[in-house]
Amino acid sequence: MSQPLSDDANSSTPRDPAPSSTSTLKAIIHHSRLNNTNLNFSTSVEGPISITQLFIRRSRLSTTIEALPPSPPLLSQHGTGYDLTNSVFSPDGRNFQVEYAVKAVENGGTAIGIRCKDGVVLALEKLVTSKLLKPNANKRISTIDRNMGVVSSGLLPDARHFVSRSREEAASWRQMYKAPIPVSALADRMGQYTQAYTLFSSVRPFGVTSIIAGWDSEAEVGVDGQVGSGPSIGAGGKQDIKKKGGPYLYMIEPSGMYWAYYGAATGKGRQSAKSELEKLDLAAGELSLEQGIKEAARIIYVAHEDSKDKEFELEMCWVSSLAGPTKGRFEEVPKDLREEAEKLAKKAIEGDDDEDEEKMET
Amino acid sequence: MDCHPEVWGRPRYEIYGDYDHSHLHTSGPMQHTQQPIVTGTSVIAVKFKDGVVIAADNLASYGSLARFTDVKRLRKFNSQSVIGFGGDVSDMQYLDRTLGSLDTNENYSNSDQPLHARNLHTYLSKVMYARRSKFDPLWNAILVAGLDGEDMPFLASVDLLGTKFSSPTLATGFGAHLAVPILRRTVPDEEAVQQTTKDQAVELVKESMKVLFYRDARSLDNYSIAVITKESGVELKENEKLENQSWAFADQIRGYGTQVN
Repeated sequence: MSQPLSDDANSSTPRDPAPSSTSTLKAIIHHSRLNNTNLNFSTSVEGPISITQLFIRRSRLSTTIEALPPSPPLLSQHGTGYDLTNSVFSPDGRNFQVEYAVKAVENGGTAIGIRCKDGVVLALEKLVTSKLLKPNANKRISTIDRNMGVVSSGLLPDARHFVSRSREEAASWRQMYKAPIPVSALADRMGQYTQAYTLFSSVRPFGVTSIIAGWDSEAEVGVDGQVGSGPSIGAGGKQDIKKKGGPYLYMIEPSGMYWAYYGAATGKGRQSAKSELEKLDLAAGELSLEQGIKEAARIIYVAHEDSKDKEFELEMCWVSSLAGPTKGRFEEVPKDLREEAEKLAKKAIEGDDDEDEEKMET
Repeated sequence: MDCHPEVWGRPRYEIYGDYDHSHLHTSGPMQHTQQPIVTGTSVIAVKFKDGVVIAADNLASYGSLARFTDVKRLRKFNSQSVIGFGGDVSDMQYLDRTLGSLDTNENYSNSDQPLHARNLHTYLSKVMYARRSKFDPLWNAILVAGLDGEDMPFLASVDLLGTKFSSPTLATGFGAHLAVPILRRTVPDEEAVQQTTKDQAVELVKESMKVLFYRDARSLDNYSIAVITKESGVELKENEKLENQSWAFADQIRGYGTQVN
């Protein structure tokens, strides 16, 4: 059998001892690319190569391994194979597939969440990809149960699957406990679910970072289907305990990592959105829901500044306390409120521009 | 100690031979609900020109024992429909949860049109008929009151067999015998519905509830009443008390025939 490779003259460094046939094949291909030459298998088969043929050829190659000349060391981590499969650790302990999923998220429209004193706001920069799309249709913020919502950026179908699973989790919690799922429990379950998609090579990680917002009811919620109030005194009589309830905001990343946040941002404009969120001093818990709406609209507009040439649509949903405007339910922000917030946002941005111009002039 | 509970206390097999284990088979054929246990009695309802009035008392009986006295059997579904349940209370709770998840799932579809009373009645009738066809009925008689797709008053019934019908006046259970004749005096047909005001309808229903309390041994004088109109949605009052009962004449009654005083 003839020598299968023709280029070997430039190689001088010694090879690793006893490489496997697979890595050898890759190394050969890599090597030949580096040297800008063609692999020239001297076989009699013409046309496209089937898998079986490849195996045969590889086994033939492996018989000639001993005869192969040394090849140069591999330069970068890419091409070493650690990024080709989900659930595989690289030598420095990373899962590259998850990091690539994060790249998909970073291409998506900006999504933010703001936890206010008396509720939570979710907002999304929905990029308009075609003039043929109907305005205010194709909603991207979804309701979970009645008191929670999810917004995500990244791959839309992945987001839909995430939402669908969240709804199943909320429904199964009700089935089991006859009560609504607490936001923290939903975040935990969805975190677990997302993380499971980093454990197997047969699946790919989620291409979305999702923000979950909700309000746990501050009122005593009866058991689903409950009739009557039970004994008013004595054994089984209820004590009047004030439930805490309140606003919650979580963000879940493709790795399955999640934290609770005062303000969360993801997608293309996350950097500028985050720095705007930090200015709000949300930890003080002073920002009202109405104010939160306005800030959310402004932040989406600020985050959009970098890709100004593209059209976008603002989508906003909110949830408040029982005493608040949504009565503990997760809903779309009413049109007039949203438009007012948008008007203020545009004004704020133009104001910034004016200031900049003034500075330029002076 | 013998680890098989089924032989505890039985004659020792080395002396009396093997125990006949066929005696332990108690399962038999699969059994579904054969009878209601904790029950609610009548639900009554009447249409008037702008809406519907529906009422049911707050009692859940355990046989002849008036066991639970604060069981609310009218369920507000959304701003335009109320469902009144008679019959088994656990099945009512099941239906309430089912309708709750239906409501949640409908909300997901982002449609501007919420489910109205006619939708609910259709849904319930299919659930009821499917269950009876599995020989495992939900032991209820149900009235659905509210507004239909055109905001017109809607009132219809469905029961454990999946039988459904509609009428300007409806009542389940005992009420079908006692309340319907009274209601029909004022509201015999759809034409009369147009002549009936809200106040008249409410008064009529309250009067019928009183008659039912007089005559139905499984009834209570605490009741819930709901009025559904387009203008003010659902007005549900859950702790009403029967008023102006007439018992004074009882003083005059002596003995069972010939006794004079």
